[in-house]
Amino acid sequence: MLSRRDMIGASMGFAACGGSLALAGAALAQASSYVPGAVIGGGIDGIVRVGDNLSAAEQIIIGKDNHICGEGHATPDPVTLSDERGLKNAVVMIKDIARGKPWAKRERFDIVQEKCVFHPYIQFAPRSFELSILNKDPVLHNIHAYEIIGRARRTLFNIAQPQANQVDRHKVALTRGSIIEIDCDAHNWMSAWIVTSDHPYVAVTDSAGRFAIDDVPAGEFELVAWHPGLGSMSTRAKVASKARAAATISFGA
Amino acid sequence: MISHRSAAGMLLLASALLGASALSAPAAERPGRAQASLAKGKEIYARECAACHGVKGDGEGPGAHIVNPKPRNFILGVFKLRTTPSGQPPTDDDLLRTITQGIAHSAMPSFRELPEADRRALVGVVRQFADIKTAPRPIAIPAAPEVSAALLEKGKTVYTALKCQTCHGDTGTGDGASSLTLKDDAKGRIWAPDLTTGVFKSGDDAKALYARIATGLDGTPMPSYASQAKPDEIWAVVHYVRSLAKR
Repeated sequence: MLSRRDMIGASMGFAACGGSLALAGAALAQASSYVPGAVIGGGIDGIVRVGDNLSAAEQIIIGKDNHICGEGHATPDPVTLSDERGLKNAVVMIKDIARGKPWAKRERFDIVQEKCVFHPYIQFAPRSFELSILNKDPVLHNIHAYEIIGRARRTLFNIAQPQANQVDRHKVALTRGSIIEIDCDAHNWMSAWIVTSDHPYVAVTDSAGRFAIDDVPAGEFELVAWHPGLGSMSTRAKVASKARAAATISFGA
Repeated sequence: MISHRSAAGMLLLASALLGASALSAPAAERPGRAQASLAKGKEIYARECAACHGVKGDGEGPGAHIVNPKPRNFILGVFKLRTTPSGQPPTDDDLLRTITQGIAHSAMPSFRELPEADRRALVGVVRQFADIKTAPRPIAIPAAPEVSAALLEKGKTVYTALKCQTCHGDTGTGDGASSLTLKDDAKGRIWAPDLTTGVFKSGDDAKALYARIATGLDGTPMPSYASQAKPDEIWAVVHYVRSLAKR
């Protein structure tokens, strides 16, 4: 039986279409050469929602290092919803936008392991960057990063961090995929994701499921939302100069 | 890869059915030495390797389903036995060593009986499948220290400090708490090996064990300890682990 994570892998390579669950490699395919410049554009304010017909997320027993990691169960890729069923931690991206606002690329990103949880759980980055990795726990974590390529995943690096407060820095450059999965083999419930982009028109939804993308050139765009536990879904948004467009992306009915 | 000496009849039949023609290099009027070597390598690959690793090098040969662990998918470019940092492709010598020695605890046999030129030609084929265009640099492995009781005691201390027991267990028998939940890149079930058997994937060679600890085994949960352990500490663990073997 496929887990939710397996379903995400299995759905990769199919374009988002007509309200069905689909995703990533193709749906998040991006323009390879972004041209920055002056933009007199508008913005997009949106929300990502989830319908009622959602199966239960995978739960894993916290079965080791309980003095640090806590007790009970953990959900590697939680589907966290607001009262209005807004989805937290979805990455929303304009698809195939080749030119737009200036982009000061961040060169360094951070990930912290604390109480056997990765922080942040999800973030976006350019296709090449340096990742700084901190282990705050006095237990062995091994930060194991994979490049997702269609149904497959390939190790990008796998580094042991057996001591508390150790820091490693690793240069990352994706060559084939656009999504990085991070886990810890020693604690199989730990999960984090980095979605890479060739342009700056990306956002992560807040606890209400809301997002905002600014300084978008006037035009009509495909807007793709992706969540590690759900896959991807898309909608279209029409942006006019000096105006805010509204967008709703819905997973399920 | 599968040995023409040790392969089951079914795999030999599958290999024969695949035939050398499936991978024959396109004819070139005046191929250079490298091209000739690659063409020869493709012929050897079709005969010796494709039954498991597949005509396309994707690890999906007709015999792949009967071996565990599964044959390497060269296309993904991830290799366990390297002397290069985690995430880097192997050197040509790394690939040659694996083809020559095979891999213990797996169906990958030794191809020592093939002439070295043929094995090097196979290295070229694997490099092409994996799209390795650079010349990866191996890590520096300092000279091995003299084995002594003090070194072994130090190795035991470092083994614990590096928390190797998390997977390999307190006594190295592979019964660590995390061993029950380990998975490989393909999300297949994988176990931490029992170090007390004295049988290691890349053989009992001390330098090879040093490389496994320093660079990890990409594609598996075994991480690189290069940034967290000093060379003398890694050497101490190498000799401690070798001392665990029930010879």
